[in-house]
Amino acid sequence: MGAKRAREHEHELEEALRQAERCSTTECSFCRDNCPSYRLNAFESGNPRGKNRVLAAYSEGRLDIEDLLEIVLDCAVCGQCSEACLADAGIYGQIPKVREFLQREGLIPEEMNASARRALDDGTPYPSKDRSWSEGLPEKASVGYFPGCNVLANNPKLAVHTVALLEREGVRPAAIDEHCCGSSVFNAGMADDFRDNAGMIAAEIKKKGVKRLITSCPGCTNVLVNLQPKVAKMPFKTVHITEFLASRKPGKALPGDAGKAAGGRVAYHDPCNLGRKLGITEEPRKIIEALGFELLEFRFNRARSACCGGGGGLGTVHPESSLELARDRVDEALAMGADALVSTCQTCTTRFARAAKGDIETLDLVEMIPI
Amino acid sequence: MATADELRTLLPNARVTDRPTDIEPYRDIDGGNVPVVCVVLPSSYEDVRKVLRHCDERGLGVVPWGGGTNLCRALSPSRASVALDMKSLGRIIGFDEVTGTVTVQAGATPDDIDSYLAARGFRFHFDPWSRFSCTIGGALAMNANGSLYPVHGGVGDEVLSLRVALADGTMMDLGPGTRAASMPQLFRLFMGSEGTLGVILEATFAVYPVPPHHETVGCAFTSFSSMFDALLELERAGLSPDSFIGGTIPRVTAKLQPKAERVLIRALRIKAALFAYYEGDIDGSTARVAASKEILSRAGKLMPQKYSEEWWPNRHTYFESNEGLVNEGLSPHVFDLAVPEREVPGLVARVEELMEKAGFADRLSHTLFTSTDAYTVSLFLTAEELGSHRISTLSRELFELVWQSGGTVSRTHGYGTLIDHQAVQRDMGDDLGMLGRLKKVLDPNGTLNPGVMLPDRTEVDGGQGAGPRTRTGGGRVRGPFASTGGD
Repeated sequence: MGAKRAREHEHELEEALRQAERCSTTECSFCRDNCPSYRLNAFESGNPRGKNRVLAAYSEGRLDIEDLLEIVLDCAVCGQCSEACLADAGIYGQIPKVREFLQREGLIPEEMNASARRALDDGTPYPSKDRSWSEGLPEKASVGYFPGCNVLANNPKLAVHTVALLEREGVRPAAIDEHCCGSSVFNAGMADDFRDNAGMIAAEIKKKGVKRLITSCPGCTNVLVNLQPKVAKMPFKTVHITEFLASRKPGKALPGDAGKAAGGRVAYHDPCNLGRKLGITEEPRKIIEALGFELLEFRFNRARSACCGGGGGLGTVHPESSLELARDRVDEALAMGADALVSTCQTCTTRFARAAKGDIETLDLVEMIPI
Repeated sequence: MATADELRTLLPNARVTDRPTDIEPYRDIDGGNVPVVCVVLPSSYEDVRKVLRHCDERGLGVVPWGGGTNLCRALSPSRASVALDMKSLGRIIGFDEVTGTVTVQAGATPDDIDSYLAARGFRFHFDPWSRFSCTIGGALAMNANGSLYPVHGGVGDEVLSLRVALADGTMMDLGPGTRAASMPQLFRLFMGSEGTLGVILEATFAVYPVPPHHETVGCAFTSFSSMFDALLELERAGLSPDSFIGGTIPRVTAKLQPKAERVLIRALRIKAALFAYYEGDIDGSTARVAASKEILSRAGKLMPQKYSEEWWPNRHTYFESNEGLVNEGLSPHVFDLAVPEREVPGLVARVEELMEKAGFADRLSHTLFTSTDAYTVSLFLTAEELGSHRISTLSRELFELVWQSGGTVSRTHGYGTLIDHQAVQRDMGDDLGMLGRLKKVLDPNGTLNPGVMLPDRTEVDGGQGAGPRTRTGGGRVRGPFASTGGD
């Protein structure tokens, strides 16, 4: 049974197998350290090297396709394994392809599919989308602002604050919020829908005359910069808000709230999508220091930052485990003596806030910048 | 009742799995035929004892798993076994600043321990290539070396005591906990015996403050022998580095260097490079560096500081992160050898000749790591070549040359099941016979790591212990890229 179905997927598995072979020539397991999936499943099948072995076993007919489900779905697609791998064999690059054929086999769980369908049908994978943030913004402009569904669902005031900051810098952006970036569609392995969605985003941006797109969400930024150009023409430049602001003078932090006062100790968490996949690591730090905070570093930081637990649909499929990972980060920040745990990603900060349960203040860096 | 169900009942706090997906990564990577019955993540030493007793009574093997780097296939048992994954017991139990000791569970990695100690101004002496992934229990079982070998010896040399579990589940605390005692250091039996005599649960190590200063000198040479002679001269002058790596640059990798470095390699006729590391107080190490530079500059060409400084901070990935090699589909195939120092130059010449004849001269490098008698041969091979009969035959011929030089074929990666019993017998001689006798006493049912180093009881002719096994094709020393075992 396994062998027959493996043959059907031979083509898609070709690269995965080459990778498993490369992995087997080193056997180093450097990928294991800091892998969020391995943190949840402490058996070898939980870590990237073990997942490579499982993929190889499937292709050799020793396992059924259903056996792949768990190893694929508990991957946060954080990219940590590829960063650590000496043999260019991190499982991260293979997960989307495997999810694609699991999707075709009808094996992707309904909660992931539902989220992806909402993203396609409603323009957001979340139950609601507050679009009032964009009232008064021009229909057309050379600069666009793409807040991302997560910001609009969980922290719409961040979008308002970001627009105010942009306006302070003399930029009045066009609002780009009709479509979701399609991250959840990609994570569910819906390759064709992801491509079509990318085309619609490109059309919206073109219609509004946008040449430079400013983003808040690192996940969206990664999709726009690294994934969509592979499937659609995206004729604009995407810039994360921290890149934009780091070159400006942010001013001093507002006095008042605990942890926000200048001189407070701030632990900065690099979101996987921003630090590892886009290499934006110094800009947020520059802003934190310019605001007058003492910057505290996690043991795993920058390109080797740990996942918050929200990547790759992990929060949808394994919500409790996902929060355990977030709590690890909260605990480390507390152990460092931080007044606040700060990130630049709504997925991370939302998860941290839930996991922290008030033990530490959790903030988006942009919210800390006074207007 | 299936073994996994029995163990679940027996060990309510442990995690036990027999799901095919979970078992797969614990099987032998080549054949996939190793019968792993189930995997246990113990929650306590008591769990370990119960697993051992349970399996010992039922004729099942037990394979203690550490980091699973499995360089010598010491995790590939010859009969049905339970994989006991010790990574679940990885706590740092205690640190005493006054006595300079740290006690850790077997599943901790060197990086875990070093990070813990660094925050307290101390350093863990065991610094292998696999510091992020191997476990201390696995490293001790393989008696592995690391980059600080010249200063502190191998991983076992700073051990003061061990807690082990024997095959019948007996737990023993061995070792005096101090260097001063004259009692026999029987805990050393568990180092290098590859998990065949007992399961290491916990170890206490002597540790030392972080040296305040370190410097690295890099030097290029026109031949391996000029590099080797320079190292001997440093040794005679009392300037042996506190760590070093030196080796020839294989032609295939030299071609893959960035253009600027390629030009430099050609212009200076560089064939070998040495990085020598010195540490200590600022005055002392700086003086040693200055004196060693004088010696090295007579024998070779000192590298600019920026190249010299590159090795130490990148030592865990330095020779492996060569994207060019990966793109070419080549992986290093490593033979870690221990050879009497005086025999090294002659052996290097004979290996050169052997590889020339076999058509691998372009893809060959000779390396000395931390000691002038620690000689590594690396061949850069394609995936097809890695498992081929041709390489297996070549390995055997290489082994013959090593034995003729009075050396051994396993310096730091162990024997496991990868090196066949005949070769192990040849390498170890009477030591293997002694190991066989000890095995009969400590593990009479052959429960622990069956088939590793010693023939399994099913393979023994007349119960004679360490006789040769008929398995062929040994000597395929897979993977990585040198450094320690740390299974």
